[in-house]
Amino acid sequence: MLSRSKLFLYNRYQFLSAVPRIFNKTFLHTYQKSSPPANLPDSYLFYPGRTSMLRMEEFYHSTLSTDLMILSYKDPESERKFIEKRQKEHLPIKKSVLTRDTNPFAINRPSPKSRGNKKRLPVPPKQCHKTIPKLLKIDVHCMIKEAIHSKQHLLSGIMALQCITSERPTVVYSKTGVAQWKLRKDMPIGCKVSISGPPMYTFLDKLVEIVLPRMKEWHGIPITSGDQNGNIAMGFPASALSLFPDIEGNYDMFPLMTGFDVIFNTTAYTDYEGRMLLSGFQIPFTPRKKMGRKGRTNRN
Amino acid sequence: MTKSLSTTAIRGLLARTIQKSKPKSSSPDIPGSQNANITDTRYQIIKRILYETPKPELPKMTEQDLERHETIDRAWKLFLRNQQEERENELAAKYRMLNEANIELEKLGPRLFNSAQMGNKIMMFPRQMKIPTETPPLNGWNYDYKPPPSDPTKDSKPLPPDSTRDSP
Repeated sequence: MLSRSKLFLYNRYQFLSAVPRIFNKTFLHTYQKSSPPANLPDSYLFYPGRTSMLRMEEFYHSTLSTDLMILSYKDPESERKFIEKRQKEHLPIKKSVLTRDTNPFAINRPSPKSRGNKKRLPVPPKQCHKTIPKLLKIDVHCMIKEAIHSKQHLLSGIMALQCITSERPTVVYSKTGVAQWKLRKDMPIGCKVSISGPPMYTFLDKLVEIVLPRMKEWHGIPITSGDQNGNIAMGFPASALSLFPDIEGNYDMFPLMTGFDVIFNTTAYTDYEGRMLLSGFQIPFTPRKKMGRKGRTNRN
Repeated sequence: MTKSLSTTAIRGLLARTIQKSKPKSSSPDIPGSQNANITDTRYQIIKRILYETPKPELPKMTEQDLERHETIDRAWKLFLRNQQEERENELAAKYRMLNEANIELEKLGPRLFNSAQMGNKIMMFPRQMKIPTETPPLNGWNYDYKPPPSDPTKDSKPLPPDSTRDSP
């Protein structure tokens, strides 16, 4: 019997040097190449180093982290209740599934569907100085409708995202087809880029200092935004793209101005903590539930 | 077949394309034909910039250069590591003090302890908080600043141009 490696390779062509040798005991296959180490310019992982002081990062380390530690501190009782709530196993639809532990035929079956489609959210660790909410990465994504009839429109989006974030975006392909919009499956329809570290903090700086203050008719991120696990997302109209200094300078070069959305990926386990962190970076939130006229909380 | 493009060459190409592709004042023969013309050339240029620029020439390092590079790299990583450890130790000490104080407070009595906990309070950083900058603001200190009436439950208005932030 061949022993299978337990390492899951996200991408077949992942370079082995990115993973320590201890965790990757596979043999060197023909499609895997050992590349130069990440500290040499030859490697694609090489990052030449930050070119300027990262204002947002320094602010986080000097001020925000301590404040967040105090604000997100929970007394042992409420912490225990929260962890229990996350660990709770919801009742399944069929009662017969409850005999799984005693039934030998039920081993390795997929987990049963819960009543009401309730999902189990990640269970947070016990709080300590390491569990302070932190901004991990930002995903910028752009869906380009015009790419349905003409694929070249994607290039404008790719160029725009590259200018904003300083990282090369990847193309997003459609997962399903919609006949009404003439969309087929596996059609290139958008682009996305994931940034972390110095590029992330410079992007955040540009956003907070230049783009958000100049946006017209923008009330802030809705306070209900979030995926119940600390990640906050927001969308921008096409007019916001022209406010970025990287694009404002070369406005004529871009044939198509697209809207885009920004997803802040944080280490917080609740939306509340995620919002607290982002408000520290001076991102405004509004009590409105939706963007636009429909989101008004008080009529007249 | 592909010509190598330097940054100056790219800039020149784009400038000429934009000039050429701008619609002329004379009437067009086919409506929309000029729009198609504008996008075609720019997309070709963008495609060339994104996917056909030659790889930059990497510096050829001698053995001494490599040694220097490695030493600097290790020194920088060591510096970052020390900085990280210092921060972690500070945070750990603060957390320990915070935790112990909370435990002591719990022993004192329920009233003080309960009022000290966060409970259901909504806490966010104030919008007037200034993230420190390297240089002072261009407009100086705004002595006539008046904080907006804070009532988060009411319908929010579109955010006004911030008077606290310096104009570009």
